[in-house]
Parts: sequence; structure tokens; C-alpha cells
Amino acid sequence: MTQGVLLFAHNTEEVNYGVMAIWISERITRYLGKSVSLVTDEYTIQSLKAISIDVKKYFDHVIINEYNTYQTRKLSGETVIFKNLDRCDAYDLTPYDETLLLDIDIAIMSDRLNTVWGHSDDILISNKSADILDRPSDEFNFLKDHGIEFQWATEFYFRKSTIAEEFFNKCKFIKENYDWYSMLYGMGKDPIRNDHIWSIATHELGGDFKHIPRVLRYSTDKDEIVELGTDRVLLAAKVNDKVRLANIRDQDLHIMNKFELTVLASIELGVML
Amino acid sequence: MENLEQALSFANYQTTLTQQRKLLTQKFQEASVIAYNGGLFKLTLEFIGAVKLFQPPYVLDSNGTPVKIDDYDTFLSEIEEAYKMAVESYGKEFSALRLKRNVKSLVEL
Repeated sequence: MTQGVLLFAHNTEEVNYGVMAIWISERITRYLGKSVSLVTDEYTIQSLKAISIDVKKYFDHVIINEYNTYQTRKLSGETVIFKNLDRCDAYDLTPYDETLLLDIDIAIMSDRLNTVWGHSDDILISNKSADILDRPSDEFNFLKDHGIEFQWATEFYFRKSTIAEEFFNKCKFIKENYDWYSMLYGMGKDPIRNDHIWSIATHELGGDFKHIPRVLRYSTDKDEIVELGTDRVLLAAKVNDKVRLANIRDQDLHIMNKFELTVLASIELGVML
Repeated sequence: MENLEQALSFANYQTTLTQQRKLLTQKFQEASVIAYNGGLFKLTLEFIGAVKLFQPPYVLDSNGTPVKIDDYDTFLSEIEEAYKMAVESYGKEFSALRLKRNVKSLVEL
């Protein structure tokens, strides 16, 4: 039974997702000790090569998936292009029997995700989350007021099985018919969000999936990363015009400020962007 | 934030302390979960006591899934050890946090 972590990274002109993928792969090796594979494209490989990074050195498998559908969204006040919709193909692309699908913007600082391996259920999903600076928000609880429960696509465990295959087939169907689903579930249709696809798939398949037993801590795209070390992150942000700080040590953190994270990740890796 | 010193001077001690306590609690809760025979168990004193007392052939994990326990000695020693480690670490870090009397020390600067 092979086990490993699957990552997706498609570079754009604004953000070097490839560097972030290498950054998290180093942390996965250090803290989880698992095999890591990357789904990417030639453009990303070439742009990493341009800064003297041989992507194959960092991953057990590099899976080329030329995926050209892109979206735009506001991030840290700027409109950016991103390509993340091939996540629904994870079941077909993974080289592992048991896969932990992770976003590349998670600062792994503990081994807690290792509890998922060998679980008796074929799918474990993440649905409990907490803002690291304690700002109240319902965005990650329900898709809308009185709507269905929010599920994160950020960290997701699955085993090759009929149940997991059905889940991903459902995800693909929702993605292809997102206009209709956005109307049905009352959320915005643009951009297409993987978290929303995961939430709808979970709901429509009966909602009885078990959960990864932890709170997914996240910081928003506006939070400032004051320090990023291998085992701690110091964050700062203004909340109601007052400064709040959070020091996270030996716990994982989903960091949404991709601009700062890319810069700090490249410093940690010792590469010049 | 223009600079860190400015952030530190404006950050509130009580808010930062509460923040750090919450993080410690979450850390303890995560460390109190163990995987065993395909199940995930959130460990509490009550859970450990009940398992020790009744030793049922199946134990419900945190997701409500019945998990067969073949070897009670191993299971009990694993859950006791994991809980002890988690609570000890929580206790030490919590005590250390109480001694930090300013924002700078709370965020380890």
C-alpha cells in the first residue's frame, strides 16, 4: 500500500507556485516523512529552471498536466491569475494508493497529519477551521446563510476505492456545471472555488464523510508574515484598527498571503526569485 | 505594519495572551488524537478510564466508527502514553505562558 502527499502547482506571471510547492515538500519530508509528488506543467518547470531549480530533485514523481483554464481573483488587494481547477483530477493523477492532497500554502510544522494514514474510511475531509487572529467569520462555516456546510479542499485524504472515485467524479461534474450549481446553492459563480466544489460533492453524496480530527488554522491574504521559521510563524494584522499578533509554533498553518509567502519561501530555500 | 516595533507597541497584552492560550489548547487537542487500527481516537481521561474498565471488543472512535481492539494491553499503553505526553506538554507550555508579562515575550521575540 503506497502512501504519499500530492501537490498541485501551476505558475503564473504574478506568483511562483512552483517555489511554494518545493518549500512545502521540504517540510513534508521533514515533519511527515512521506513521499511527495507534484502535478505541474512545462511552463512551471521551465520558470523554475530559469532560477536554477531542478524540480525533479524535490519530488518522487513529477506529473505533467497541461491545464490552461485560468481564473482571476483578488488577492492581497491585487487581481491575480491562477490555475487550480485540475485538483478535481487528483484521483486519476495520484501515483499512490493512499493520498493526502494538500494545498501548497500550508506551513507544515508538525506531524499531526500523519494520523490519517491507514484509516478505515476511504475519505477524510477537513471542515473545522479557525481564523488565527480570532476574527469572526461565517465564510468557512456555510456556503451561505442557511446553506450547506463548508468543507475545505485544502487538506483531503483519500484511498483508491469506489467511494473516492465517485467523489472525484462528482467534483468533476460540479466543476463542469458550476453555473447551475452556483445558482442552486446560492453562491457566486466566479471564481470557481475548489472548497465549494468539495462542499457540494460532500453534501450531494450524503454528507457522511469522516473528518480529519483537527482545526484547520488559517490566516487571510491581508495578514502580514512577520517571521517565518521552520517551526514557527509570527503573524500580524490590524483588527478593528488594533494590531493583533499570533505566534504559531509546532502547529500547521494555512497561509493565504501568497505574495509574502512566496518571497519568504524562496529565502528559506535559498533561491533568488 | 510598517515595522515590528510599531506592531509590538500597539498590540494588546490581554488579547495576545488569549490568542496564545487558544493556540495551546488547539495544540493539546490535536496531540490528544491517536490513530489505531484504522480509527482516530480523541483521548480524554473519561475515555481512557472507560476503556480500562470495560475493555469492550469494539470501541467507537471520534467519528463514531466501531474499531475492533485485538490487543488491549497495546491499545491501553498507547493511549495512556499519548495522553500523558500531550497533557504534560500542555501543562508546561501553559505554565510558561503565564509567566510572560509582555507582548514581546508572548510572541517569543
